[in-house]
Amino acid sequence: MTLLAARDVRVHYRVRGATLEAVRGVSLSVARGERVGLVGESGSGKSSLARALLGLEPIASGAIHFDGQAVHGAARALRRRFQPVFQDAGSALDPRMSVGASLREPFEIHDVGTAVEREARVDALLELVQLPREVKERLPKTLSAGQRQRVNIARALALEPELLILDEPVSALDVSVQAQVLNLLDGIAKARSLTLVFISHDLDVVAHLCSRVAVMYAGLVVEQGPTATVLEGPLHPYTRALCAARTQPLAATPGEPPSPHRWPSGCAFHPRCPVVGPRCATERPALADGPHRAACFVTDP
Amino acid sequence: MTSGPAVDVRDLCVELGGARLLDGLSFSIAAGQLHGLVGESGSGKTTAANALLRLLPRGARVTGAATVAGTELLRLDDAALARARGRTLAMVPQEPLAALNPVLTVGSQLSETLLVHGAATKADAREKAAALLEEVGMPDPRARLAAFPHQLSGGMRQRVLLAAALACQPAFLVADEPTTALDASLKGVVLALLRRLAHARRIAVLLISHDLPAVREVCSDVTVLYAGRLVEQGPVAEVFAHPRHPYTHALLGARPDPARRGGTLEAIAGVVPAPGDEVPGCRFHPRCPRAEARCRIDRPALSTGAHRFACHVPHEEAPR
Repeated sequence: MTLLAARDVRVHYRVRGATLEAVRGVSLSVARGERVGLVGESGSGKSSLARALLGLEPIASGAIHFDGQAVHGAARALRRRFQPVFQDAGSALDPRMSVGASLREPFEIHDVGTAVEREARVDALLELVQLPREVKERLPKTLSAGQRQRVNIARALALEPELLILDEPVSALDVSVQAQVLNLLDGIAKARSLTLVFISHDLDVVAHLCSRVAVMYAGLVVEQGPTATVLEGPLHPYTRALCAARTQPLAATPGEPPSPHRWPSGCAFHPRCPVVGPRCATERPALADGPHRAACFVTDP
Repeated sequence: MTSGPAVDVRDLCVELGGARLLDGLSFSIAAGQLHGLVGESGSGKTTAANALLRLLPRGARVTGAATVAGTELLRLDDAALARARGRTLAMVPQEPLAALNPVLTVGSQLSETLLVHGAATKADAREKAAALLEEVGMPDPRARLAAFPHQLSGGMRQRVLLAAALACQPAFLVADEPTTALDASLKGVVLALLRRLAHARRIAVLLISHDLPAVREVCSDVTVLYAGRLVEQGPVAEVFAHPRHPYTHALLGARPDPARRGGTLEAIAGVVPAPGDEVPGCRFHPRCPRAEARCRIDRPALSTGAHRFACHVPHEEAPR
């Protein structure tokens, strides 16, 4: 059953009088209980898409539905069912609010429980993310980055959402702390049957946590499929380059990621593509429906 | 040319505001080689870089020795240091945008570097700047001289900084997380470039990174720091294949493995102690799965040999 459905979503920004097309028509459907990874480099549009999926960014066209209802302009009762976790754990918390106050806030806003019940829920949340109760009295700046991200995860889980949208939640953390937070997320998602949309530039992290992956390039999804299938047999030349870089750190993709201010014509990857064909510079390949497809004239005609 | 290492650092220690940020770092690098310095935040790797580059605040107490091509870096006076910068030692910083002047063109910034160090005259500075950009693989180098930093992509900015660092043929280059801010498809290009330039120009490079696969790929040797102390050091192939220190072992196991999906990652419990936190014995013992009683009391000494480690209960030696 589809929990989150995005259809032909476009996100535009006005930049000095010009229109910047950050997301150029992305369709994505996430089934209940599924974990979908969104992979892409900076400028690929993955964070803009994440913000649109959360209803935080207006969409220029298309539609985004959560459990059949539009996320933009949704009522509070719907919004509490999907929650974000952002990359910068520090700036996501109010620096002047104690951890306890930050964790109580969702209950206050949504008018859940009595003061005593809220306190018990805050304690339960801290236990869930494996933080000691003492941190309730502390300010975010006195916590380590890993502890702050645990607080953010706890806060996102406060209202028992069905879906978490996580935008690079471990990218700013040290390797050993990354592993702690990934294990924690994995365990909580399993225990609560959570649906996850996990955004990252790190293919290894996505591969570890997600059952399905969508690869973004230049504002579009260029390939999607089951994680194992995509990683073992990537179709799109860009995905192939990303996969090669995991095992051979010196593998080089020629050229540079394109600028959102001026996308290349046709398939946006064509100026860097090793298998570029005659149509690639002029026509944009579509992403067909199917379990594992790529938007490529050459490798998935 | 001497036959010894181009860079030799002995027992480098840094104290700042009563906290010991770095506690006994030693390593040497031969000309043309890359040496990886890895560790998490708080490990002291950036402190080490800043100590070698003489960029620490005045209040810092630095002891030990650091010799580069016969020059003792740590004892240079201000005038000698100014002369040594660019020629003896140079750096590539992590944030290319922050390191470039936003209101000057690439050409004027590179020319300035060349002129200040007397490596070019006003007549040929632009020509030399273009040649440097060409050497670092900048597409259309001549036209880029007129570009401002904001008009360049992240990869191109990092190339400009690499060009600036190379301008005066340094003997020693400190690259502090040079690829961290770059996209996956660009990292390989910059790393390969760094390695090629080090080999071709016989520069000794200290590559500071938390990116273990990158270090494995381009460096000949690696030093692992934990909470200010050297915990393991040796040839890259040996350290990565048979880590002896439990911290190195854990660090390698904590990354999701491309060959194995799902399951639980080998997280290291707890957090790195803050600089200045007193941890008796081995500083890793509170997080170490192998810790014994003596680890809490005695600081383990660094073993001898090409593959060194500081641990009372190391992992098994490589099978011979």
